Amino acid sequence: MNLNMFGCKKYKKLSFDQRDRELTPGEIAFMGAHEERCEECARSMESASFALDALRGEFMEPVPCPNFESKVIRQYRIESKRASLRYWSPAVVGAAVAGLVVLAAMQMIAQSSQLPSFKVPTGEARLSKPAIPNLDSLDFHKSWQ
Amino acid sequence: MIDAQLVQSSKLENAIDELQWVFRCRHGDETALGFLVTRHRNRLIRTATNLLRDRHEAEDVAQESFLKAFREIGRLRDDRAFSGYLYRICVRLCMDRLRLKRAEPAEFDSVQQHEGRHIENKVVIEKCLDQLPADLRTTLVLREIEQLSYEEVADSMRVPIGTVRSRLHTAREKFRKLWLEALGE
Repeated sequence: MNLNMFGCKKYKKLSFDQRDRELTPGEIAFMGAHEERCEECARSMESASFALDALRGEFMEPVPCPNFESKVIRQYRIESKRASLRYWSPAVVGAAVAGLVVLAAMQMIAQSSQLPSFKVPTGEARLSKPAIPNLDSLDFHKSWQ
Repeated sequence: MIDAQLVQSSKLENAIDELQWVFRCRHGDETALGFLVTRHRNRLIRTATNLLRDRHEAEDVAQESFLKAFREIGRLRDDRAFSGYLYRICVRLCMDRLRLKRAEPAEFDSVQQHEGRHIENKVVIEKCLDQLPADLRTTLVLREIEQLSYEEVADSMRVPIGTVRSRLHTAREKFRKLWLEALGE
C-alpha cells in the first residue's frame, strides 16, 4: 500500500517534470509501468496535461496602444514637476515665513520712529526739585562778607 | 558558425546600445526614456496581460512599471541590469494587483450554472487562475504561458529556484483540480 502511494507520488512528480525536461529512459519506463497498474494516476495525468496545454494555448500578445510612449513620457514629466515641487516647497514656505517676519519687523521699526514727540520723555521732564537744598545755591559767601 | 557569431555580435551591440540609453536616462534625457519604453513595452504589456488577463489593466501596470523604474533608476547599481530590473517591477506590480483582486469573492459556481459543460476554455482558465493565490498564479503563468526558465522565474519573482519548483508543482496540481471541478468531473 505504502509502496504504491510512493509510486503515485513519484508518478505525479514525473508527469509534471516531463513538461520541463526530457525524462530518462528509466523514468519513462517507470511511468509506463505505473500507468498500467494505477488507472487513477493515468486519468489524473491526462487531465493535468489537457488543462496545462489549454493554459499554454491561452497565450495573449496584445498590441500596445499607439500613443503608449507619449503617455508614459507625459506622465513622467508631470511626476518630475510634482517631485521638484515637493522637494522645494518646504524651502519656499520657509522663505515666505521669514520674509513676512522681516516685513513685520520693519513695519514696527518704522512705526516707532513716527511716534508723536509729546509722548517721548525728555531729560527735563524727569528733573524735579531736589529734596535737599543745594548748598551751592545759598549765598553763604555774601553773609560772611 | 558565422551565423552564431553574427547573432552574438548583434546581441552585444544591443547591450551596448541599451547601456548608453540607460546612462542617458539617468540624466533625465527624454529621448532615452522614449527609446527604452519602445524597446521594452511589448514584453511588459504581454507579461502583464497574461498575468492579469486584462489588456487595459496590463497597460496601466506597464506604464506604472516604467515610471517607477525611471523614478528609482538612481538605485540601479549596474546599467546592464535595467531590463531585468524593469521586468521585476512589472511582475511585482502585477502580483500586488492580483493580491488585491483576491479579496473579491470568486464566481466559480456561477459559471458552471450558466454555461454547463460547454464552457469555453478561456473562461474556465480565467476562473481557475482567479482561484489560485497570487504567487502560485504568477509562477504558473510565467512558466507555462511566458515559457520562462526556472532561473528566469526565480529572478523575476526574487525567490530561490527551489521555491519556484515547489510552487510550480503545487500550482499545477491545484490548477488541474480546479479544471476538473469546473468541468464538473
